[in-house]
Amino acid sequence: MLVASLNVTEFTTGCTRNIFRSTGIITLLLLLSACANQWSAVDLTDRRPVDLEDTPFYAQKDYQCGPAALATVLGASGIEVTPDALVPKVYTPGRGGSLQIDMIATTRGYARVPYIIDADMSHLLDELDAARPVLVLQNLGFSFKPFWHYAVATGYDPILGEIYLRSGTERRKVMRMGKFERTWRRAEAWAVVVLKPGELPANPDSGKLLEAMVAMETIQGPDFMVKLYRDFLEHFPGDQIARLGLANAHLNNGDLRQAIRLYRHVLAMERSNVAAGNNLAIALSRANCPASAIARAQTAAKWARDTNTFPTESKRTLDQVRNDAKGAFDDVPGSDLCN
Amino acid sequence: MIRTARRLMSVLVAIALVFPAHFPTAIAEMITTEAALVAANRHNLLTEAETFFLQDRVAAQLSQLGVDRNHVLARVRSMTSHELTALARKMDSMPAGAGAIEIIGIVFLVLLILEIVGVTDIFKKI
Repeated sequence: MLVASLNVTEFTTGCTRNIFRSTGIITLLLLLSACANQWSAVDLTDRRPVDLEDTPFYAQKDYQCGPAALATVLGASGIEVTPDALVPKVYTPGRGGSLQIDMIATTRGYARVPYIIDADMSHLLDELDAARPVLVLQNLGFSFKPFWHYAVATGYDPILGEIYLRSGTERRKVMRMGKFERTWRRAEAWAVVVLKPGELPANPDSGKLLEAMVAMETIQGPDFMVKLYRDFLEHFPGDQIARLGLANAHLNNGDLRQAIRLYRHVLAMERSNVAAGNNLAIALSRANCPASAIARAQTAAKWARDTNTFPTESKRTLDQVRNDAKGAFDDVPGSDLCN
Repeated sequence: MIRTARRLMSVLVAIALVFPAHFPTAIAEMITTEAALVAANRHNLLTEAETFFLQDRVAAQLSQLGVDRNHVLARVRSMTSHELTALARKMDSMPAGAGAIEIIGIVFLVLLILEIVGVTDIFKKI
C-alpha cells in the first residue's frame, strides 16, 4: 500500500490535472471496461511457450525507451549498438520521445531491413516462434491522452496467456496477453522486426517486403542492394521490380554485363516497362553500344509517351544517349554486350 | 555551414523549377527502383526537387524540435519520399514513444480504480 500511495503522489504531481479536467472519469472507466470485451483474444491452441532469453536488455533512461528498444532488437540481430549511440539518431527532444519513422530509418543505416508486420497478434507470435524479438509501440494511456511507449516482445506463454517484454527498466516484464493487445491496438498495432539480408519475416507479404527493401537504397550502397535483391528474387522470382532493382544496383556498381542482362530479362517479361528500357539504354551507352542504346532509348520514350510514365526522364535519356554517341552510330564491333 | 549550403541549393532548385530553360536538360536519368515501385503502385511520384524540398523541410522541423544539426541530415537521408511526406504533413501529431517511467503512476491509478469499482481483480493481496 505504501508503494501505491507513492505512485499516486507521483501521478498527482505529474498528470492529474489534465485527467480530472476532462469530466466524467468514471464514465470513461465504465466505457473502457465495456469496450474491453470487444477485443478478440488470439487463438492460442497449438502454440508452445517461447522465451527468447538471449535477447539483450538495455534499461531505458529518462524518456528514451525508443533508443533502448531499438538497441535491443538490433542486438538480437547481431548488431551491437548502445542506446546512447542511438539517442541522437532517433530521439527528438521537442517531442520527448522517438518517432516511428526515425526508428525505421535508423535501422536501415545498420544494414538491417525494418519490416512492419501486419496488425495481427498471431503474426506477432509467429515472429516470436521464429526466434525474432518484436519491437512494438504501445499506448499505455488513453486514445485521447496517449502515452506512447516502445517495448520489445521476447516471448509468451500460451497456457498462462502471458507475454514477455523488455520494457523500460524491466528486463522481463510479464503482461497478460489481452491487456498487452489492448495497449498495442491503441497504438494502431504497430510492430516491427529487423531482418538480416536473406532473412524473411514469418508471414512475408511480398509487396510490403519489397517496399521495405527498396527503401534500403536510401542509405545502403549497391553491393548491399545486390545481395538483398538476389535473396528476394530467390523467393519471389516473378517480381520484376526487384529484378529492376538488382539491375540498377549492378549499373551503379559498374557491372554493365549483369545490368544489361537483367534489364533485358525484365523487358522480356514486361515489354512496356519504361524504367527497364530507359535504364538499359543508359547501360548500353556506357558499354559503348551507341546504336543499340539509341534504339532502346527511342522505344522507351515511345512507351513513356503512350503510358504516361516517366516521359521527362526517358526524353532526357534519349537526348543524352544521342549526345554521347557523338556521331558514332555503330556499336563497337564484336561486343557481345550490345545485342 | 551545411545548412547554409542546403539553403543555397534550395534556392537554386527553386530557380531551376521556375526557369527550366536556363539549366541543361540533357542529363541521362536513371529511373530509380523507388520511382519504379511508386509508379507501379500508382502512388504520386515526387520529383527529385520535391524530395529535396521535403528533406529540407523535415530537417528544419527536426532541428526546431531540438535534434542535433549534425544528425538531422543523416536522419532525413535514410527516409523514403513516402516517409518524408508523412513527416512533413503531420510530425506534430505522430506518436513519439517516450517511456514507461512516468506512466506507471497513471496506469496504477486506473488499475486501482478499476479494482475498487470491481471491474478487475488484480491486487488480491491488498
